[in-house]
Amino acid sequence: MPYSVGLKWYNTGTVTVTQGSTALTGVGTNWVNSGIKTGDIFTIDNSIFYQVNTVNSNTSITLATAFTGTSGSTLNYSIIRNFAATMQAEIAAQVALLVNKYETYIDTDLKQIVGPKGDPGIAYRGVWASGRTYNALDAVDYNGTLYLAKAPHTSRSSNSPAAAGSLWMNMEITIPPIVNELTGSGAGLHNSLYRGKALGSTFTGAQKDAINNGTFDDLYVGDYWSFSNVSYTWTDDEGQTHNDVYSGTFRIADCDYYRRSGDNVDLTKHHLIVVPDACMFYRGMNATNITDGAYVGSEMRTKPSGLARAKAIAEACFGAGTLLSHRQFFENAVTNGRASASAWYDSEGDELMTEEQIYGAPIFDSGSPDGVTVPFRYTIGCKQLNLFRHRPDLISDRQSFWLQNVCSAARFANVNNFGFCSNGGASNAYGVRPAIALRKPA
Amino acid sequence: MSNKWKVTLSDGSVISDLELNGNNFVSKTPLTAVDFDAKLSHVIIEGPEGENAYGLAGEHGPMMLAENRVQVWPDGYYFVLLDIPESVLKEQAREELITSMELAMVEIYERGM
Repeated sequence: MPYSVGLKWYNTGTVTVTQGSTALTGVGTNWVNSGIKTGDIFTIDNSIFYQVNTVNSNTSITLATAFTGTSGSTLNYSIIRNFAATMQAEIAAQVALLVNKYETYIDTDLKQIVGPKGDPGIAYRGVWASGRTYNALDAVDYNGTLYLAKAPHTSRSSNSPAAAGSLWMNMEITIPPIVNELTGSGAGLHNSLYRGKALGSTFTGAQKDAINNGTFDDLYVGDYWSFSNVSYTWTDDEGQTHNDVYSGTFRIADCDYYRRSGDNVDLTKHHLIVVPDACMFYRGMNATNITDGAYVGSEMRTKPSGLARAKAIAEACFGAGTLLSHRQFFENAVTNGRASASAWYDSEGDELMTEEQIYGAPIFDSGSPDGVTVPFRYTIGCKQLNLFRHRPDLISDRQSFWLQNVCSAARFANVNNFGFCSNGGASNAYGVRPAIALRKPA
Repeated sequence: MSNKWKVTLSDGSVISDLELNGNNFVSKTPLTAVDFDAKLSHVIIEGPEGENAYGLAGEHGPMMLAENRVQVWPDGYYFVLLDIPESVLKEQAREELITSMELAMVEIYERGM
């Protein structure tokens, strides 16, 4: 429909006209300020029309032709605006043309470039209910899970989303643990992340397999097993047998820590290092304050009441054959208060930790005693355990516990109960908190 | 090619057929600390050809037996020979000199009496 410009007649005030005269006088008029212009049309009776020749002032107009009607004053009148040939008329005309043009475009041309109607989409139908008619692509909430209908049907309890896989598609997306998607599995990935997940109170077959095949699936640093009142048997130094119970937590500290080490055997067996959160029991390194024989010759390591008891606890918790036997390089002699010799020994999988495993570097067991002699302290326990790298706050359990390192002729290294690195006389009864190497039993 | 080590002590006695574990020599033949007493002023250690683990092979000046003992382990008799640092030797010599001087002074005193 063409756009039309509305006309507004001007008829404010009154006029005085004289027959035969072109003069028009207004009273109460405002012709100039209201935009009355040459070409506008003046009339008294809406039948005879006179063209405005000039607008002299707000109250004076000269008509183009003389007034032929009866003279009079205070007469009502009308001036019709003539937009023809004005800028406004031109613009209005152009706008009208444009509007007409685009209305035509919308009605015809645009419809031709609009494609066919698309396929129906998914319609959410709310909570699933029996006795309803569902169409294909209807989505429902069934026990908190989103399902999508594959085909139209009438619902019954026998064809509910969980029961009728032919009619419904479970839209729940299972995202595998993102950590497994990062770089795959293996010690590298699983040593890089601290998780701290409870793994239960049983060393399961799946966990053993994950260790054995080197994937360490679902086993991360910080994950832990919790054991309660596990019975175990140990023998004291006099040969007396004791039946005790152990309750505690073992936390994964590292994956494949010792892999590719060993003198006569290249250790390729995948394994896990676990550390108890708390000391297992308390004992001196030796009966007196001496460090002769260093760590490997200490009573802690050679007497039944020492690490053998720790091994009994570990096997009671994780099972027989689960501790990794392998070769370790241990200090075995002390001269002038420093480790002077080391050799390879068989390890049964439970050993005190070293300063390096705790802190990442030797503290007291370092440096030359005389600036010339190199302390002979070669060890494969020379890397910080990843557990303490991620969580140094787990180093201290508020109890002093022994480390392997020799500090002097009388003292071994320890972690002090206040959390600082320290050392103590060998006869002191400090905590036993070993690193246990776990494997899948042969 | 033998992978065994041999130690020749200052009195000429030889301990051979030794294996090396770390810096420990391991003998299948029983040994005790007595076997080394006063025999470590000059020691010759020979290892497999081309082998000089921990700088052990060669001629050594005064040495000491670590912890002055031979350790007995299931797989053999372990002993460790350590070079005595120069500083320690000087200190020992100084102490020996002082001791000698003290003894001499005592003797002089007693003679004077």
